[in-house]
Amino acid sequence: MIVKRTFLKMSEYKDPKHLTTDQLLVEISGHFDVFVGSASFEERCLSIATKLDSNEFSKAIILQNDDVQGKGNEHSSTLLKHFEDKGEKVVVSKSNPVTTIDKIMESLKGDFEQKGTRFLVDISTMTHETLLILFKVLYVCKDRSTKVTFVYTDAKDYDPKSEGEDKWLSRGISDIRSVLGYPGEMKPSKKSHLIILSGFEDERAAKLIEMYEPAYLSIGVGDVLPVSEHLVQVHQTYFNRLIALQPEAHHFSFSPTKALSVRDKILDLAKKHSDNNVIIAPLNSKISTIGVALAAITNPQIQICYSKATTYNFENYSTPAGEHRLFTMNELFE
Amino acid sequence: MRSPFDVQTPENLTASKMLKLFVPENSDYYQVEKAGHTFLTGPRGAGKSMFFRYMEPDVQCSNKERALYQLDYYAVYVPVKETELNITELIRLQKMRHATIVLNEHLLVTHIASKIFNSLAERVNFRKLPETATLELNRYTTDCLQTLLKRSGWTDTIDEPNDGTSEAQLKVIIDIFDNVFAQLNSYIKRLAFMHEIQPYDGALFGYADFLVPLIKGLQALDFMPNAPIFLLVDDADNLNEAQASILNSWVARRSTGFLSLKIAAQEGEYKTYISASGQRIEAPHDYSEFNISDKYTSKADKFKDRLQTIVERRLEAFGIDSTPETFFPENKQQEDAITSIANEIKKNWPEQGRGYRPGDDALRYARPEYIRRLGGSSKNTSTYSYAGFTQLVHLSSGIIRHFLESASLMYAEALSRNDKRAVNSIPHSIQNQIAKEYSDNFLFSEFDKVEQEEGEVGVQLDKPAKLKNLINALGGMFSEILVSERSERRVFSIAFSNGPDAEVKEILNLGVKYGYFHRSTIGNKEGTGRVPLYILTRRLAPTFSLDPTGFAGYKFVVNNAVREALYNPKRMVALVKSNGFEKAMTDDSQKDLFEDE
Repeated sequence: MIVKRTFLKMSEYKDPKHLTTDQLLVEISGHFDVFVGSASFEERCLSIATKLDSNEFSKAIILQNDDVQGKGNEHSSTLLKHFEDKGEKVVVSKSNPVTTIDKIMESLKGDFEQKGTRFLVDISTMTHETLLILFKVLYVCKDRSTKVTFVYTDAKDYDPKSEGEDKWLSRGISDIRSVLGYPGEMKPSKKSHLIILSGFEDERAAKLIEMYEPAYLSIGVGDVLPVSEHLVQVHQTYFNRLIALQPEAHHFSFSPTKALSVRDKILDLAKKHSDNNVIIAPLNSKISTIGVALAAITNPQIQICYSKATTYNFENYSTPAGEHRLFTMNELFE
Repeated sequence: MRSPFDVQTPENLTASKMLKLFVPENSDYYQVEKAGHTFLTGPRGAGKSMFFRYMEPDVQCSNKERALYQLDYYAVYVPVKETELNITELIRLQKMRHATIVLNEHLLVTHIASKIFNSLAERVNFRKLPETATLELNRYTTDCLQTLLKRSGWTDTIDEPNDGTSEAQLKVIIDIFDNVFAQLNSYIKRLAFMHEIQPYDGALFGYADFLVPLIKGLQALDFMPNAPIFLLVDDADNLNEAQASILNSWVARRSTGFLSLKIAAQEGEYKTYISASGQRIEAPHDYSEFNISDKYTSKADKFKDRLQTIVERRLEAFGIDSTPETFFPENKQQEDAITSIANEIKKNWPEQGRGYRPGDDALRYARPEYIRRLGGSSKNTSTYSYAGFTQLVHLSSGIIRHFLESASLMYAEALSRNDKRAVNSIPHSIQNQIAKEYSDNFLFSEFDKVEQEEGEVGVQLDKPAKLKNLINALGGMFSEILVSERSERRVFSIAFSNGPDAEVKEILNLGVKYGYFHRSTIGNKEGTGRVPLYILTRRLAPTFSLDPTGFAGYKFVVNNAVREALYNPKRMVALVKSNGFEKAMTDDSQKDLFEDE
């Protein structure tokens, strides 16, 4: 059942809570029924989950890509062991998103049917596509009594073994597709407006621009101080490199940790070129990706695209910080 | 334009700009222009979209100084952007085996129909047409178009245009197709969460019952050319498999009298050549085929002439008063040294000459000798400079975009070092630096795509690994040949005296798909036929310190030796180096790569 919801205006919304690990555990202790997380090659996938009291949960869904690399399988085992008989591995497909949505819906069907289920969703290491699909499922399938809380672990550093501009997270693009659930309304008479929330992957962004050849291009850079200050400089360098190649592009800044702020920014940009088909490529934080999802749900004409990288720096992707963000689905709605 | 070498989207270029920038000569353009279905393949950046833009009616009217009705064809540009038609939700149809072909065809026809009327709106100046043109268009809308829409299950009514202009009428028509698309989109959206088949109850457009009569009706209008309509389907590799098979079904039909399909795609990326009914379409029976970068491999001078003209026009358009040669000057010190060696060779020709004339030997050996002398005990072949227009042309290996992209990077670097003052030439040091970075990037960073797309999990030496071995082996061997005493030192290609076998062929074709090799043919040694010739892309010349300017150099090889290179590249390079090329054997058992000359 789809419940009509209205969104909070900018002046009314709360920022996500910014907590240490101990503070987070106090905040979430004893309040949830179902845990949803992902098994990834990143250490961050363990940061919250392994500290939870498994006895408090009736179920733990561990999403895992069918081609997970590096320590992905090892982390999956760790998570399943932690949750014992309540843990359930759900293998999602990086090549077939329909399989992903079907598996997610199948695994959560019973929980949606039960009134008042409380979900704790760790979004830290999900792929952007899986997160967007999961978010849409939660949005469509939950009812008023369902509670969904999102948690995210900040990264202390990305590619910690490299310095400055040598840092890389992924290379190349092997496939571009619209994200299931956010097809937009691509009218054939309209030209395209591509909006990119840039991050560390300037090469991926540049390839997207080359492949789409949009009539209008907007490139965003994250403006908040991350946990590690030196990452600001790296981020800015990558952004500068990208915009140097695209002198005609419109630039804007956004907050990587405030989903509602990102939503509003994108809706504004879409409105400015309302005669165009709007496509968004979220290449920044998972929280900003939720902001993109909110924008596309508010304005269904917006399409979200996902670009599958050819290679990930899976052995050296990130190190977890002892800091987390927490926000609820209700905080995104009235 | 911020740089004379900006790679601009052809779609956004005006007719006058196209006439300034595009050079149809020395290319297959005039072949593509002929009536008939055509597949145009080539790597990204080879110029396919520029061909199509040039064919559009506004450019053609300006170029040929003719009225619209006098053109030889009316070309409609139909771009297929990345996620425009290939919506992920459509995978659900395939999974449920529900109306995949019918709905994908409807999507495709709606898209094309919209582009046809967009073309009339954007590329035709109705003010230059007789006054009757608008009346004709109005009558076409209320008679032909309305009938077709109703017949296809469309239940709305056609709005009256705001005013009596053709612009207003075209807007009404374009809105109709946008709304039909939106209706289908609404159904597509529900597919994400669907587990049971739900019927689609909107309008349904097909090729035979809608698109063909739509096009024929337009053709019959007096202001339109009495000639075929061309649908220029660009980036057709963005279609999903069902959509590609539908397009193939249209190709298989005999429609060239009134409709020709010109389909552009990256080589090896078009999803299928099988039609919706399961039949394979074939060249030349069903369509003609052109590979836009093949010209370089067979006729290098023609590509150089074309690129020369393109660069001249771009410099002029940017207000730079330079020739391509003066804008991209050579490293004078290096060229003087090479000239000095050339003179030395000419002087010694009576005693030591190999070619028919001193000049022939000078051309063949001066540059390789220079590179060899750079090697010496200090191993400084990497200090060879790739600056100079001629070398840069060769490094682009037949793909215009490669030249423009690296030139654009060079220009940006020169500008930043020149305190943003006007740049009238690119210093040779910058040309050389960017050329080397561009080459290394191709072999290292860009190779990741091959590894991800073609990699085989659990296989130690999978296809990408074998390809990389082969590239490194051949690059290393060609480098050894370059600094040897062989009579032909500028070798870039291999042809097979026996084979290639299935394994070797698969790897070579993989290399062709990703642009590391070009494929051509050459007469066999017996003179009884032709065999495949594989040419290493000159883009990699800087990485292996090769001379990119030589063209004719190829070697016949034995299959076993090439197969060995897939597994043991270093061993093969060492074998070529230690055995010397004059004494290289053709005996398969010894696994020597190159045959006797």
